[in-house]
Amino acid sequence: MQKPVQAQQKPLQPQKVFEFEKNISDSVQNRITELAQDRRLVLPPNYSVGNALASAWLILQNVKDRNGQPALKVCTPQSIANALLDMAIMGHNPAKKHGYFIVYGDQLTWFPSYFGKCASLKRIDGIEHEPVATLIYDGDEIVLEHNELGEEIIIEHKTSWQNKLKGDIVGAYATVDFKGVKRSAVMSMKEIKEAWTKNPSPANRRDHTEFTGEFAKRTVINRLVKMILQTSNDDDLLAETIVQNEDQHWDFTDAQIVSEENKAKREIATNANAGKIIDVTPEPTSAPEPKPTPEAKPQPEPTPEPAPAPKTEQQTLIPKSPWE
Amino acid sequence: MLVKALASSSAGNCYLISDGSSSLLLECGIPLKDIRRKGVDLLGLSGCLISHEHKDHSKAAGDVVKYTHIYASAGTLQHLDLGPYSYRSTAIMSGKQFKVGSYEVVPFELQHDADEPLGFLIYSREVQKKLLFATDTFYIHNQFTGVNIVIVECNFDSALLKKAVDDDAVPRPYAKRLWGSHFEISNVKEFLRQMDKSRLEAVYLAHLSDGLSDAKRFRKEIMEVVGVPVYVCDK
Repeated sequence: MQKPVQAQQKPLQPQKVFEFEKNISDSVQNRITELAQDRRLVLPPNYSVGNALASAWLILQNVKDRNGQPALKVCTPQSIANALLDMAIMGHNPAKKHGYFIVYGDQLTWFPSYFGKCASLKRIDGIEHEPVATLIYDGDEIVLEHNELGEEIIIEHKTSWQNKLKGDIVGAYATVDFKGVKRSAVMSMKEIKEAWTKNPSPANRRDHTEFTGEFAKRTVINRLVKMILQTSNDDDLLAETIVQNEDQHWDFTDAQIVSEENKAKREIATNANAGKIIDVTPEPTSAPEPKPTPEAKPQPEPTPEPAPAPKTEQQTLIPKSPWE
Repeated sequence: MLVKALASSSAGNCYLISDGSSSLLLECGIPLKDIRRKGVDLLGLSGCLISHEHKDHSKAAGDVVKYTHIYASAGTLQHLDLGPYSYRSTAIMSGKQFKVGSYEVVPFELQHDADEPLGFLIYSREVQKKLLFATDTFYIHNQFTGVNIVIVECNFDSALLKKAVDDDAVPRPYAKRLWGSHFEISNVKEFLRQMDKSRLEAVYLAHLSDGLSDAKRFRKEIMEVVGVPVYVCDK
């Protein structure tokens, strides 16, 4: 069982926060410089790691975990550094909503948004511009063929204003030029909706029904981007980071569930029903009943019975279960 | 001892126990108006015990505290918003016995993804019976003797969970979390098998998960283990 770590960590003093920030920022910046020198990472010429880190720190001050605890207090310094490094490698800027910091237990992670993914994609070697997505309305004339790699590609698409007005979206496709080949992803509305059912947070689905068109475009672009990134060259650190980052957030495989199951079973085997016997001492010597403060409403002693419990039933100690 | 489940599911948990002299509310995870509608005399309560801060166990804490004293671990209390009434709450600790009305309560540690979750062993001086209350945990570390009534979570069945994951009825992250936070029926059975059942009179199964549990089968299987009446708490 993972225990929250905040209990042991004292809140940092302002001076210490500054040092903590400086240390982590420095180590992230040094690592980025190293990677750039080794030519493993090519940062966009107009991307400033320093600026991104500075705005990340401002945003991090307000990031909280699901218990409302500040992320900087709860998360391990290593995970903070890794999240910032992920952000910098992908060339993201939190101020442009390229992604979000999310806390999982004591781990801080960087979760790229749709915009972040598009921004990273533009930096992949061989891609000139961001992918373009198009919606297919009911009644549109479509010619579907395969490109030289065997991917489905739409080579002709005739639509009309009338079709758009009717607004029945039946599918979407996205295309991008990658190393001289037109890459494409085509999805029917059924496939798109199927993809949306994997959304772990049902509350988010409202947006998908209210802005179906925009979200269909995002889904189809995501599919295309995933295809290009996951088939990219192994020494492409940028693509690797994006893919790993994606897995970390979404791809809970069956194997992971099984490993969690085994972990729980191991813990149960060693710890369950193995602790000391807990029993009640009829008259305790310590820990007396807390005295009610004078403002507290007087609590009648003995207290009156709650309404649903008739007298006759109380005398039989195990009454018939009320819901049987 | 009277046990009444006012609500028992992931949507909300609330139980009332009474020994004829005083009554206790266990959890308050449903709106106050629902607690009232179920016929609970709020001013007549001796106290309310809360196991952990998740909303399905503590939703009404801010309202219940206006009527009665709240007992929970320090970790739980720091997440509850009791407003100006926080003086009517007491931080309790695992293993430290305390008195509420005619009851002696010993809290013990649970295994759940919350801040210091607790289970309760409750002894009534009035009727001299022991009640064990443990919900939202994937196993119980401690052992107990001479317990008369058990209220224990029986959340899901591994086969039903597997099927639900395959059918995409349950998101994978949720399935992953369940194993390390909620009581699976075979683990419940093992817990009850190892427990001293010499004085056991009844078992109440609580917090059954929607779609991942089968009340009828659970009741039958647990009854085979304990040999005393088993009740499944109403949702």
